[in-house]
Amino acid sequence: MVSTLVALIVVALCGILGLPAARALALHDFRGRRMVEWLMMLPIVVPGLVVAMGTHIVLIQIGLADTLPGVVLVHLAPALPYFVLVMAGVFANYSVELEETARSLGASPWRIFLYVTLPAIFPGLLVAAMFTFLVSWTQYITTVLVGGGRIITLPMVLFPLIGAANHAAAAAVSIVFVLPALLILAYTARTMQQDVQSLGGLGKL
Amino acid sequence: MTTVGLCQLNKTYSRTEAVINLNLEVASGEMVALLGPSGCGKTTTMRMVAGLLAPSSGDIRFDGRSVLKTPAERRDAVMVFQKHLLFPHLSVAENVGFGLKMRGVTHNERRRLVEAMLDRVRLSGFGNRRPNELSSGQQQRVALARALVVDPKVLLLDEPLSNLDANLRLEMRRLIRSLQQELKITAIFVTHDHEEAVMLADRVALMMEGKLLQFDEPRSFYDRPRIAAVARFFRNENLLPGEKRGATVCTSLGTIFAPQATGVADGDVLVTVRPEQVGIVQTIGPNCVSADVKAVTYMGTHNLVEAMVGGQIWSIAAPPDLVPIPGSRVILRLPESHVWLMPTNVA
Repeated sequence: MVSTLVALIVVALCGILGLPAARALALHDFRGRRMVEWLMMLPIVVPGLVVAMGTHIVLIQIGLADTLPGVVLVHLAPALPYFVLVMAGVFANYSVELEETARSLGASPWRIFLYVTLPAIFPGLLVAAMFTFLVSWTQYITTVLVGGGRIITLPMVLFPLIGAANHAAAAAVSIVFVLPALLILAYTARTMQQDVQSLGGLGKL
Repeated sequence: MTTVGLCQLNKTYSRTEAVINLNLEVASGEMVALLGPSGCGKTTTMRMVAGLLAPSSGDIRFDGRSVLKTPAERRDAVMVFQKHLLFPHLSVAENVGFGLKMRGVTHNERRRLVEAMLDRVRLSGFGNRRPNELSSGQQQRVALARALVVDPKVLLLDEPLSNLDANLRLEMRRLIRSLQQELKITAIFVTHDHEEAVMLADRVALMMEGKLLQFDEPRSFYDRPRIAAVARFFRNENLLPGEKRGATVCTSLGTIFAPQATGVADGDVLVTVRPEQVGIVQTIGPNCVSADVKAVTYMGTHNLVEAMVGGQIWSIAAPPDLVPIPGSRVILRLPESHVWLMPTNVA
């Protein structure tokens, strides 16, 4: 399904872009950090429609309007801040000295990432990925605008059905729509009950 | 069994000079303490030896060969931090075996070495536990095992005992010392506690504000501190200015004989005697000065007597049943064998 594809791609991109960003924000103090943090949160604060309209114009110019990549890009706008926000929290609770320890024990940078960093942030990473998935999954206005009717995601099927009072069909689609959110909720609820440490710093939620 | 040499080592940040012209030689199998107050540059130095920080200038040599170009992961200088930093997602055995795994040691061999090392730190059978199930003392022992099992060229300990309570600290000190000597590993450890340095190290390097003040056997810091700042760090603030001529010093309170104090030029000096060596006597004799008692505090093992000696407050560790009256005048005897002289202007 298109929705799943789009959402998964968004998660992947968020991961690639967001991880370094989150790490930099949490672990390094650089000039203009406050400004970057503030800018990072803008897409969440500014209404989705406004963001979409603005992006749409640019995307038309680039020629990405009405295409899958275009929709992915627009979804990135609200999704990335959530991802970075969650991951920055995880990194804040993360000890960089763990990596230094691994290094002095003989691990090369790549092996450090694989054997130390990734396992340590994994629980938080999973939660961040799931939130990001949901953000993309539930995008409506933005997809309508930028997708131009060519890219059809689940909300775009669902909301017209509700509006047309086609209750049966709407109910059926709703279940599919809500399913990922329910599954994610169930998973995170179960994980929250475990030892706080295993969440890699998200335990305060 | 590696020697470590620091040559003209410097580290400068944009506004501060953290380490200044440091020269140090650590012999093979020796345990050296980098001692000093916070911010003196000792941790910065250690991180440069580990390869986690690049020096601004100078050289670091293992066995005579520069390791500046060798990245940290290949230097074989393993660091144990203040926080135990065990990998939370691995078991105790997997933690200890981590360095071996990085070196490509086979699974069976790893298991053998890990078990042997866990035995040594008295944690046999703990292999399957998780780090968060251990007490802090146990965690630190695992961290130690993890560092030692790879048989490093240099063992670097960054205030490894600061997070432990006093009883544990003593036990851990003994463990670290016995393991280091048994395995003959060259070790450098950082501490701000001079008692710890004296207890553990073969030689102590006292640093302040980035500079090395004295590098000597522990005893020398008590008997022969090089300058007043060194004496002060080791809890000796008893200073009396005077003018040295040969083996005697003319002070405002009389002539003091200082036959032990060789190596200091004639001229302006500071006379010092450690609080534990100053005696309170009844009659004036050679090397005696009079002092006004300011305060007497009971310290359990001794009475801390603070008295004004020629304008400076001296501390005397008197026997607990000797209680001078504050405000009275006493006679202090400065034993010839324990009078030490230091230069007046700090080098």
